[in-house]
Amino acid sequence: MKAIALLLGILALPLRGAEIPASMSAIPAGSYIPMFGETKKARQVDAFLLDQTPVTNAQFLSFVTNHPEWRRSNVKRLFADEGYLRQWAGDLELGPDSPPDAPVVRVSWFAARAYLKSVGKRLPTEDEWEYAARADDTRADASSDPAFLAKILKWYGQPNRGTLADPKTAEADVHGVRALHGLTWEWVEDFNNQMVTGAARDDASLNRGLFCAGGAATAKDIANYAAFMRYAFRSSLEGAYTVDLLGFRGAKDITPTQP
Amino acid sequence: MKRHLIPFIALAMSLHAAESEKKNSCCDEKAAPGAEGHKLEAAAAAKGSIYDFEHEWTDQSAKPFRLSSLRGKPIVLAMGYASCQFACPRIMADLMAIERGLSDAEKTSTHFVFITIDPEKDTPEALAAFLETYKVDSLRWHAVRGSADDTREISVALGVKFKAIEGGDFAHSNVITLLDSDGTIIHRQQGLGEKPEDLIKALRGALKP
Repeated sequence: MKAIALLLGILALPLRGAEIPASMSAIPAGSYIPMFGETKKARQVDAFLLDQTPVTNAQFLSFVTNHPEWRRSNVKRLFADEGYLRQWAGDLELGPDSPPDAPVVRVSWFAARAYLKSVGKRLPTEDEWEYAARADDTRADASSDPAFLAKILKWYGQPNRGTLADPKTAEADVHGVRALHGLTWEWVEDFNNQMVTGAARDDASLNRGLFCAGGAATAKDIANYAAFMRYAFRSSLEGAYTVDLLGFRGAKDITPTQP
Repeated sequence: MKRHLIPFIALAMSLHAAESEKKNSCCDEKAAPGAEGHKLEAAAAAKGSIYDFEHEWTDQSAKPFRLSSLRGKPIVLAMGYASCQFACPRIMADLMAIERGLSDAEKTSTHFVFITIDPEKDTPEALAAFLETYKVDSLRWHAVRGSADDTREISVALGVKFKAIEGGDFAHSNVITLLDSDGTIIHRQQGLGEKPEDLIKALRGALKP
């Protein structure tokens, strides 16, 4: 037992008393200004752990093997629509379009949460995801760099070239996290919090920001266009939806280890 | 087929949503800036039985409560929070308008459930006081709270969007959902101050043997 504990101690990098699994990265606390919100105020994001790569077909296959209620032919319509895991060859067979190391897609929000619960993780919140996704390979916040945003936008405009790649081949960002951009879209826990409407003045400006391209014609807003696409996409989702390029990754609170 | 169209689909859907907002807005005329002006349009409702959730709630008497315990009877369901000054009293008024439209026999076969989106503040005591304000019959009225996790999950299934905003308030969509005796969503009344006739009609359909 002691040997195992020692080994774990070596593998896990200490972060203010917390242990980090090898497949996750610690995202340090900080603040960011979301593209849309009640106000333009910065939002505080606590430090958290984020999976370095999205959940793969192989990992999800092992989950449905152990949880028959989440197999394609068993899943309840409340939890996933008809397209759930449609790209797999069968209930427990990945097939040629779904390499084991590629991100699993066509999973609903409910299914993603069930998977993550089974491994002791959770979905990242929208704030956490957006906050982490500002990083490039050298900076924690590259979001004011037009080149960084242009790269993301380029992917958004590209046709999907068939089979998804292994996310481990994507470039790691400064936190060691890969493929937040460029491979798939990802579920967040509170995807359904968008579309604030009403008569309040800030709401009216929000709607202008969301729906009128002319309203986005300042340099800052153009820079945010990549984020705008993500917010717009999320606001079109429902919990049971499954989408061709929509996958997920896990997150975790940082809990101090017992002394 | 393999074209990457998601962003454009998403955009189109958002634009569509923007259109329908205009139509559905109930509170545009007089709402002042502030919490009462914030509301979230509802998303679509889930298919299948809500009983498939294994959520355990706590009701206003601090007793465990499962929606599936009401199996066999239709449920009129809404989400909100007790300290809400604007929308939730109106949701309660709408729920009570539905109840008033029922015969005594229909009333006893129907349950009303209010799920709080603010489980932290809405203790069973707070929920009991909330129901007390409206003098409703606690045999068929249930005000319940659950974990943040379960609350988020059922809100997604009901298509109720909510978001904490400043000052302890929430922006949320105003939806009254009708579940049939098997827990399937069969009707939704969206917005505030809507006439209850359509929902009552659907409810009577669900009450038929």
